[in-house]
Formats: sequence, structure tokens, C-alpha cells
Amino acid sequence: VAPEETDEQLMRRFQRGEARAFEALMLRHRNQIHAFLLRLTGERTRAEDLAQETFLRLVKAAAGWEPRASVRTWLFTIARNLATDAARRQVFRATEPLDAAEDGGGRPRHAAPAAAGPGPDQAAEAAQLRPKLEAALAALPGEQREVFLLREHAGLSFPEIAEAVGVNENTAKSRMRYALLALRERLAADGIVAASEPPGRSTP
Amino acid sequence: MTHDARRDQLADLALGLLEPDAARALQAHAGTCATCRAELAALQQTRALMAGLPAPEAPPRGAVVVMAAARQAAEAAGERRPRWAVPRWLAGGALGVAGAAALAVLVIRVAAPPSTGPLGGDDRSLLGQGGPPGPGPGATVGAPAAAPALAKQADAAPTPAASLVVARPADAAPVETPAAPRPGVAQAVPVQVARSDDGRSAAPAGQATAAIGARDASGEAGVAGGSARAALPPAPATATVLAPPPAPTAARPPAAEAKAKLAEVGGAGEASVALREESPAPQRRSEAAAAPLQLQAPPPEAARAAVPAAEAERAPCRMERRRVFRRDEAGQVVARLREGRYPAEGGEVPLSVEERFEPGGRLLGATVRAGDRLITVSEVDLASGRVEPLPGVLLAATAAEAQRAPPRCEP
Repeated sequence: VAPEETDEQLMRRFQRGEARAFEALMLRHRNQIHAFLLRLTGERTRAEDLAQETFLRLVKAAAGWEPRASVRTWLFTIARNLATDAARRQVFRATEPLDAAEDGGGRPRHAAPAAAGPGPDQAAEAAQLRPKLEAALAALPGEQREVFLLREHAGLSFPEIAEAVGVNENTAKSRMRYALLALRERLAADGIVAASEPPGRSTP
Repeated sequence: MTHDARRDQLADLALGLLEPDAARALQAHAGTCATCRAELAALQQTRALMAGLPAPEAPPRGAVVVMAAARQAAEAAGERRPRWAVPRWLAGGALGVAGAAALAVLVIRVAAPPSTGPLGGDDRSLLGQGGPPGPGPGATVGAPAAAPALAKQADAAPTPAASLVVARPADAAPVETPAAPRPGVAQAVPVQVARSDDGRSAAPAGQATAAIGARDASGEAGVAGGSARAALPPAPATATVLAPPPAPTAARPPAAEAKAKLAEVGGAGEASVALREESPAPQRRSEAAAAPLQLQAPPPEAARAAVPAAEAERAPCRMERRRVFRRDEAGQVVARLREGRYPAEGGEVPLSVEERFEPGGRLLGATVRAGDRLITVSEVDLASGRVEPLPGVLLAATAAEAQRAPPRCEP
């Protein structure tokens, strides 16, 4: 598969019967879809199941698929909806906390990918920083987190986010704003960014 | 303006949500107000840090199930498309022996060297893809049973003549006829398939063929079923397709299309199944050689009942026509994938079962897909003793058991 091929071209080829084109599509997006679902749900097993289900939906939808929305937007929207449905259905189920680096068997299940660019110092710093950023994200209210992820990681536009989440665009934007403010507070508390200056203010 | 309202505006500015006029005004203010400038910087830094969070690599589990569904959908899509040369010459009586339904088309996938792509070499084979994406390797050879085989190379690479070993069933019965001798005794007949531009080949006409074989990712000649083996040169894989005797020029599709097309032909006899063993460790070689020939359609119900018990164990199994192991770097089995068919209302549906193990150890979970049904077996389920997600679909408790167990066939 030529690297410059767009998602939509791959989808067309898949529609014509090339399973390999679908594989390329999946390889292109599965890490991000998985990460999105992991951050949305906070549960590894569920995120993996939902990521699989997301791509199965894409397989099913492929025959009637038309390039109105991008494949990427479609995938993230489906992933988000599946996660929401699953959360509604959730009863009592054992969960794996996000910050568990290993499972019971002592096997790292989620090895951090090696940093490609930065030198060892920066990599070590990033490795220390990353869990704190993830924790800040995880601490966001769900409705803010999904908007933030859809915008910043999935790259959806606000109209697309509004449609995916089922709110109006202004609501989506204000959730985004509150998400950023909350993250900023959290990172300040962790000493990662500068603290706010004015004293005696009420925090949101 | 209150402090909170100002912070909201600064957040909007950092997010690019402000109208241009408002944005300019606020930026001008921040230029003179140190507090606002610092706040804006902190917000922008926060945004940049969060946006820069990398997506960790997704675990490979589940990908096989999705790809199995994708292959099935792709084949269905292929069938909806206009047919080309192969069905026409098959229908044209060139065979003179059997109708399309009696044909077994055996698909050879030629694996390319291990990929270092995101899924890794083993996963690539798990996904059933013979090589790296792209119109290159992934050659597919189909040969109708009990039919004259004329092969030609629709070449993609300057390769020396491919040497195929073609196995011939000991008698001329169609492959899926249960009365045929045990598939494992198929007789190996070497056939040199020479490169040819006119559609002719060195294969003697009238030769009944069941071409089986694959070169696995390690570059060794894989053994698939009985004594049939293929020895393909380690050169870049060359697409080899069947061509009708009066080879129309149109019968030179891209390799990828050829695969889909041949799979479609196989659909008629319901026998387009490729068995791929992962690169077996040397001591597993004999095991692979002794594996039952799974490259044939399941015998009809009545005939299967007549198969002696000892044979039934070796008979192709509907629920497991293809099995692949995935290993970690240390060579420990971490997953087993089985693909086959599962009985369902009004026929059968594709079945895929992926079991995940601690490296060489206990079962951690499984994903079972039967047609539209998706069943995920988690560790929690396993703790409560659930090891049969579908009637007749048994999960291995350990990786060792997964390797030991023969194909389980439904009664």
C-alpha cells in the first residue's frame, strides 16, 4: 500500500474486494483508536474489545460507505458511541486501573513505545511526565474528556464533535474550554506548568 | 471583567476558539498584562503537552478477528463484481470432468520475509497476509482438482522459474470426495512451472492437481498437508495464476485481484482454505508434516459418519481449518488462532477463535467470532470456569494444551 494513499482510497479498494486495503486502514488507525478508547474508558480490556468492535463495524459499513465524512471521523465517532453504550450497560465488572503497569502475571502489557527523537534525558523526562499527563486526562469529567480527545487527538472539528456527542456546538466548545482549564490546574498542582498567580480566587 | 471570565477567554484564545477581533484584542491585552500573559502561556503549554501525548501501541489481539471479517467481506465484494476469465473457462467445459462445484481450489500464499511493520512478522501471518502490503508478493496459485492444469506466471518480479511441487491425489477423485484415500498420502509430483508469456506452461495437460504449499516467513519451505510441498525460490515472490488454455489477454489481473478471484472460484466448491503454519521450530517440522490435510472441503455429513474413528481424528475439521500460533521473542506461544466454520441457522457461518496465553502459560482470554456473534472471554469469565464460549468450541487451558490438542471436530 503506497503510503500516500488516503483512507478513502483504501476504503474504495476494500469495497472492491481487497482485504489488504482494509488491513492498511486498520494499521493506520488502530493505535489511535485504541488509545482513545483506553483514555475514554480507563479500562484496558474494554478498550481492546471496543477497538475491535469499532473496526468490525467499519468492515460491516464498508459496502455502503460513501465518502461524506472522513474514515477517521467515522471511526472515532463509532468508537465514542460504542464506549458510551458500553458505559451505560456496565454493571459490576472488575476493572483494571489505567496506572497498573503490569498485570498479575508480571508481564508488561502496555510497554511505552520507545521515544524516537529525543535523547535519553528527554526520553526519561517524558517517561516521567507521561503518567502525570494521563492521570490529569483521566481526572477530567467524562463529557469534557471525550470532547478534548475528539478535538486534540482525533482532530475532529467542533461541528463533527457536536454531532458525535449529541450536543450543540457551543456546548462542545465550552466543554473543551473547561477541560483545558481543569487540565491546566492539575498540571500546575503537579508542578508541570506554572501556577496561577492571583490569590483568593474561587476555582471552578 | 471578572478574573474567571478573563481566564475563560484566555482558554478560548489558547484553543483558537475566539473570533479574530476578540482574539486580537485579548492578545493586545496580554502584551501589557503579565498575569494574563503568564496564564495564556500556561494554558498553551498545557494544551501542547496534552496534545503531544503519544498513542501507545495497541495490543495485537483482536486484529486477527477483524481481518478474518474483512477477508470475508472482501470475498463477498469480489463475488458481487463481474466475473472474468476463470469462471468462463470453467463453465466453458474446458475441464470436461466436473462442474464448478466439484472443484477444489487450493490457495497458496507465498510469504515474504518477516515484516517489521506495526503488527510484526508473526502478526502479519496471523492476519493471513502473505507479505507486506502492496501489489507485490502474496502470490496465489490455484489448481482445480481432477482438471488439466495449465499454469502461467503473471510475473511481477524477474524471478527464475518457480519450482512447484504439485501433489496429486492417489486416485483421480475430486478432492472433497470422502472416498478418496487419506489426504495425507497424496502423491507428490514435481512440476516445473516455467515462466511463459504465451499462457502455456511446462505442466503436462491432463494432470490432476492439488497444489498445496507455502513458503513461510522464515524462508523455509512450509509443509502443508501430507507430502505436498512447495519449494519456491527465495527470490521476490512471483505471482502465479492459473490461466485457461486459450489464455485471453485479459487473464492477467494484478496479483491481488487474482487472489480474490481464485478465492471466488473456490467458493463454488467451498474449499478455498489455506493452511499456514507459523515458522515451525525444527522439532516441530515433523509434526507439521504429519498434520492432516486440511485443504479440502469437509465431506458431506453422511460420508463423514462412515470415516473410521482413527481417521475422523485426522479428518479436516469444520471448526478448525486453519490454525496459527503467535509467539513472543522467546518463542513462547502467546496466542492461537483458529479459523473455520460454525453451524448456524440456515447453514454455516465463519468462525474464528483467538486464545491468548501468558507466554507459554495459562489462558488469559479469548475472542470468538461466529458470523455476526462476537464473544469475548475475559479473565473474569475464565475465573468463573467458562471455557466453552460456544457449544463445541473449547478453549485450551494452557498454551501447552493449545499446541498439543489435535483439531477438535464436532461429533
